Amino acid sequence: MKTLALLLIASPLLAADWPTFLHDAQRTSATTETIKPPLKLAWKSGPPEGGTQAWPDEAKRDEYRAGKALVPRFSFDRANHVTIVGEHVFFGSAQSHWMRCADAATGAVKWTFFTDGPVRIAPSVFNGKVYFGSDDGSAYCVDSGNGALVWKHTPAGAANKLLPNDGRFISPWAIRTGVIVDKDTAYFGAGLFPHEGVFICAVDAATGKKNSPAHWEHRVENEFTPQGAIVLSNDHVFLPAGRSTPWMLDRSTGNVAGQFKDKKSGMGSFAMLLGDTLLYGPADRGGSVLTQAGLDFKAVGLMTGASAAAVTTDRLYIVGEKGLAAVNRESKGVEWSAKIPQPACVIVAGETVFTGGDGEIRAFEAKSGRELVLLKCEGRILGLAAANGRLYASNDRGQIFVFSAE
Amino acid sequence: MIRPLLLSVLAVQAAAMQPFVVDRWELTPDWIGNGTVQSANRRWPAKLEGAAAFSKKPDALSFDGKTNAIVIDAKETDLPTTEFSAEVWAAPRSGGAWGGVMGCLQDNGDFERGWMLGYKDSKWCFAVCSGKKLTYLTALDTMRFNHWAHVVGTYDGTTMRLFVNGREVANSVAQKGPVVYAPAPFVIGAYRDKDENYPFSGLIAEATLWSRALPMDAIEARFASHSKLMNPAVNILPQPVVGPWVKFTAHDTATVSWESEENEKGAVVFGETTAFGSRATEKEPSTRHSVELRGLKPKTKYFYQLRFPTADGGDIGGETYSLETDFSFIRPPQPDVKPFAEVDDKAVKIAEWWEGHARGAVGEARGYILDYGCGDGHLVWELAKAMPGVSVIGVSEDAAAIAKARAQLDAAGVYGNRVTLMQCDLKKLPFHADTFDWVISSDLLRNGKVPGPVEEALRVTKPRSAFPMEPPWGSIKRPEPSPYDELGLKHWQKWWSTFDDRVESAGEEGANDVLNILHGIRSWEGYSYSKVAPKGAGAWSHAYGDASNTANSGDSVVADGEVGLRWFGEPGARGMMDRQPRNAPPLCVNGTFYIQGNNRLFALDAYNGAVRWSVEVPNLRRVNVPRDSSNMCASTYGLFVAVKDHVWYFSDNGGRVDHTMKVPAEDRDWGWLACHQDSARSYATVFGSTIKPGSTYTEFEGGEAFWYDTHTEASTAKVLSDSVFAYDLWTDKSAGVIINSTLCLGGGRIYFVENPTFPFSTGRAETLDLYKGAQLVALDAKTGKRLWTKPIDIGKLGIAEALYLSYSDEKLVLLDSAGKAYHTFAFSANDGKDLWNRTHPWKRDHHGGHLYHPVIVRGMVIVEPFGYDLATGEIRLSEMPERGGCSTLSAAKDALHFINWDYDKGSLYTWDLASGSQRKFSGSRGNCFLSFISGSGMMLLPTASGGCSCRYPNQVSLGFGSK
Repeated sequence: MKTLALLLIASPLLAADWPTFLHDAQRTSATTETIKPPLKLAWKSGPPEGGTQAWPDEAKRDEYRAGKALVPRFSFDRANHVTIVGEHVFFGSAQSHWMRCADAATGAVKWTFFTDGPVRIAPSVFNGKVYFGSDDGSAYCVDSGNGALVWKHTPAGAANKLLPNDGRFISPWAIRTGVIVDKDTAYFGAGLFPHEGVFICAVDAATGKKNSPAHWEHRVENEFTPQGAIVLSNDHVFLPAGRSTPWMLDRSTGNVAGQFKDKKSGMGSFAMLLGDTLLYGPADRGGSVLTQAGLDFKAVGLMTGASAAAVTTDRLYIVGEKGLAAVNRESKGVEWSAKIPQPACVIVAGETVFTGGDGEIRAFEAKSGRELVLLKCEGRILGLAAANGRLYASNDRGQIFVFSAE
Repeated sequence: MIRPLLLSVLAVQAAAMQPFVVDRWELTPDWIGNGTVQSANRRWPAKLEGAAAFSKKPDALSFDGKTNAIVIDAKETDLPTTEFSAEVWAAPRSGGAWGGVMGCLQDNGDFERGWMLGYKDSKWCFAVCSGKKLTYLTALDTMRFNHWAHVVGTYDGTTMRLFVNGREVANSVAQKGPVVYAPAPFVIGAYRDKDENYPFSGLIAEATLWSRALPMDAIEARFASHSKLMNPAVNILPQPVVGPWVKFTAHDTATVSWESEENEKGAVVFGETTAFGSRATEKEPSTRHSVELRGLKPKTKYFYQLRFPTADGGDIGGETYSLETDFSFIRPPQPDVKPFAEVDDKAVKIAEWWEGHARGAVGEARGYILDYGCGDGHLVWELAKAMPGVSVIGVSEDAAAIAKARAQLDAAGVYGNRVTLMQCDLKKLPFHADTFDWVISSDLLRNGKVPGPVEEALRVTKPRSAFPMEPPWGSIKRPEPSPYDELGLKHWQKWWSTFDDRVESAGEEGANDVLNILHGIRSWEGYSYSKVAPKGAGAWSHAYGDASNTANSGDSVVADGEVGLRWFGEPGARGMMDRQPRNAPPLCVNGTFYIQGNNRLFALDAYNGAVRWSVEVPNLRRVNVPRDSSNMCASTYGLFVAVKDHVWYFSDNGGRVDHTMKVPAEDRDWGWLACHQDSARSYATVFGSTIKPGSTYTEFEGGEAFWYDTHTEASTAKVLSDSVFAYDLWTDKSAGVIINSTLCLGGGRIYFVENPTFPFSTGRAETLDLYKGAQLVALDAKTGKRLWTKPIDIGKLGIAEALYLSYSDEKLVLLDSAGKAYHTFAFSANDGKDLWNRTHPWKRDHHGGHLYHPVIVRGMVIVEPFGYDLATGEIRLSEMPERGGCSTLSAAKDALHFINWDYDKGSLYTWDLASGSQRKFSGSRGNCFLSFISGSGMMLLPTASGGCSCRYPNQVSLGFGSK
């Protein structure tokens, strides 16, 4: 099995920022920036949005599996996740079709950039530019300072059309992978329906064009649908694939290497790099599960009941049906755990671990598991981020809550 | 029905069994008083725990499921051991994991003794222990709550048997020798042992303990003698004559409708639990009731109950139903905000006028509006505000105007919520053809000019809709007077007159093809226009395409598979049944795509997927359609749906129940359902058959038993009718039974397979005798006169796993799937004369490989993997593609549509038989029967994979249109 280095260590990230969805291209959900309670609410975004999730809910039961309840597998757009660079916070809106920049301290809107469709995944901010995709079928790059369009790339070109979809108009080549930038290349996928063909793209981050051998763009038909935030390793691109399992591409060529489909695979739009393995889920046929698989696509671990995770160099923090657990990455042993009600997300902010759940955010000391604080919040918290002394929480109603030190 | 002679014989046999009654308890007020319970033989004292409450007609003791039970002071040594029968007449109110109606047992894990008659997982069961372990026999079907059931368990020392309503439903030889008892209470109305107590909830009229294992004929006789008074087919709770059905009429309101015999005030109690808590009452008495349940929360399950007036001025509750606001597709109204500094009064008036027009026509407008040249966006906003059911998108080439309007709407918090604006090239809109319900133009209203090519606006207008400024809802006539006149928009009228001129100059013939797109109609009121349907558009009006069961839509628009996705969305899996139980296929007629979900109906616009209306219908569900027939069919302007003993007609416009039709027989439900129109504009004649209430398959939760894929009677028993009729015209009564799955209509005749000597007793049956002596019958569809009968010797083929009949081109095709082979017979439809027959083996006996329905296409009968010439039976096609999955084929005019199951991708295929080209559509899957259809120039697939946790990427309803 090929050994991968965690780009987290190699990337020249500013420790204080949270420059993309789940912090980095490996979606580790971890930052070295320590946020320590006590915290107070600094500001929150506008009124609740509703009915903006991309796909209808799962069936209630799986009759094939003795009527077991089904866990939703499309988890990428249930909240407006945020990206933070310096004193600016960036977030999209699935309801209002824009990308927005706001003052991190006050929430004052700096600029708003409209697209022609819902924006479902938090942007990536690199070198003063904001990269994101829209359900209108285009990837966008705008200036982080003023929101001016730098480039726009529509993989389907003139064939792009907007289709009726439950009261909205959506391109069949909607971009629901986010746009991740690394080594001056922007990676994204476009397309929801394998039968209409999908696009996978690696373009120059500065221009949106293919202008070096490292850039490629492929149309793939009747294979997969790239849905969920892309994960990068040094050699590979990992594409979550909607309700299905992730696919792996060769990063230098874009050629399809294969699909993770061990029989016990977790399915859905969650994926993160865990050392030289991929952790993906959040569900299989029997309920919540995260599957850990090597690059030979074989499962090496199953985390039954788990639905989200955050990883640091020494620990893996898992949330799921039983609460929160901190697992030593070397010994694989559980260092500590906490029984908390139905957590949905977890991040690590230096010495603190935060979880989000129904109307609450909890903080734990990373080393000991000692619970530090319980913050009450509106809705179900599905996304967390931490940067520059602030904690950001995104709920299932499209709202964002920002906490700072008291 | 058991015939009189047989009944009398059985009665004599039953009487002979009387000496073997150990004791009998009639649970009536005469036998129960002061907490003591009398019995026929007064063998043991018995006490009633809890308060006594009785129901009448028949008298029965009501067990509350909590405190009630009858404890009989019998020592276990007094109870029969070598053989016995336990017999109960009971009407369960609810079920659960465990419950008992009579028994004396101890079940403590490793210590099991005695016997018990009761239920397990809401299914009747019978348990006996003759050694160390109890053996539980369990019925396949779930108990019918609030219906009487005659339940008997017998044990003769070697064989245990369980009978429900006179039928043996399970047996076992696992126990041998005398029953072994432990000290345990002998109880009626509870499953009770030393440390467990599961009380029964419901009515028990009578319980009898016998010292003999009753033979089947005695049990049949005892069932028959009591079943008039305690009819298992009749719900014991008060019932509406028709209904109920529920429509969501606002984002927080559901309207419950039903029909009653008496003129009375309707009332409904409802709440988030079965304790209800809220009540809504009609203001005026009526026989057609509509009660609004207001203040409903989103994504919430509610329970509701109709209330029926009683003689003392009170009321009594009927069945408890549930509804889920998940399935309301109506968005909340826009907030009361003013995005623009100035209110455009003209836009407000126009929007309000059209809202009123739509409300009058269909109740509520749904779908998509395009403002072609939207100017400052005022009309877009006002239309979205006036009509919560529509999404409005404005397009303009003026980037600055779009940016300004977007910012204003966003600042008010309403942008994107059914209000969208786009800057784009008006000569080349980024939308597919046939997308919008209504295309208007603010620019035309203001300036008198369409801001782009009219042809482009027409291109994106969907069939049956009109351009410009003509809404699709209800009348498509140009409104006179309208707010446009009132607002003095003379240029609008002038622009319209150019159309009128073109129609006028084209003359009567040419008027139907204005611009080759618009269908112009001249009437005394003036002109009206609507976009024509795609040429070659077909229809899928019945389960198998048409009433002739050809499984072919005749649609040539999508036949070549050169199609692209036009829309996707609801209904998702949540509102649907599981993929397995072979439920009623969807339909598509005249641009409406009808989908049957789990006790709910959806009517979608076939061209843009908008949910035009949806209705929650308790008691709608019908599964295992291959062994029965579907409960819905569609005509040009509406949907017919069979629910119990009525057919309801839902108007295509708004889904109102226009009228209902009762099956023309007492104690019968509506079985097969078909309709026929002489032309698209004529009224439909409705045909049906009469079935025994409760004989349809309705269960789908509970695993493999409800996939109906096995070779046992539980899957293969055919639902039977005892008459066929044309509603309000004629009835043909069978001397025996008609096999529902064979009923079809074609060439002015109705055809079916009948067995004139088989008894219509249980309503559905699976025995070789059903096929021995069977005959093919043809009736005149206009008169019901029998035209010919033809004996068919299918009994020799064995029990039919599936039996289908199709008509095409004056030929009948009978497909008998039996003996691991498909036997195809062709007959002259005119006289029943044999034409040809062919037999080929199944390719597999699972995943529906033995249940394929024939498809008739291009003069061939397709019975996988062969295509036989319809006229001669010669093999014209033998290289059918290998395919997995569990579905059956469908066809368009010259093409086959099918599903080749792929666990990872789920794949749909089209096969153009004319060119031989195949096209694959990965990413979604159909269900295990027939869900992938064509019609109205579209290829359509509802979410048909509910409950599938398989690894394919999307789970959503899809509409494909021609490229």
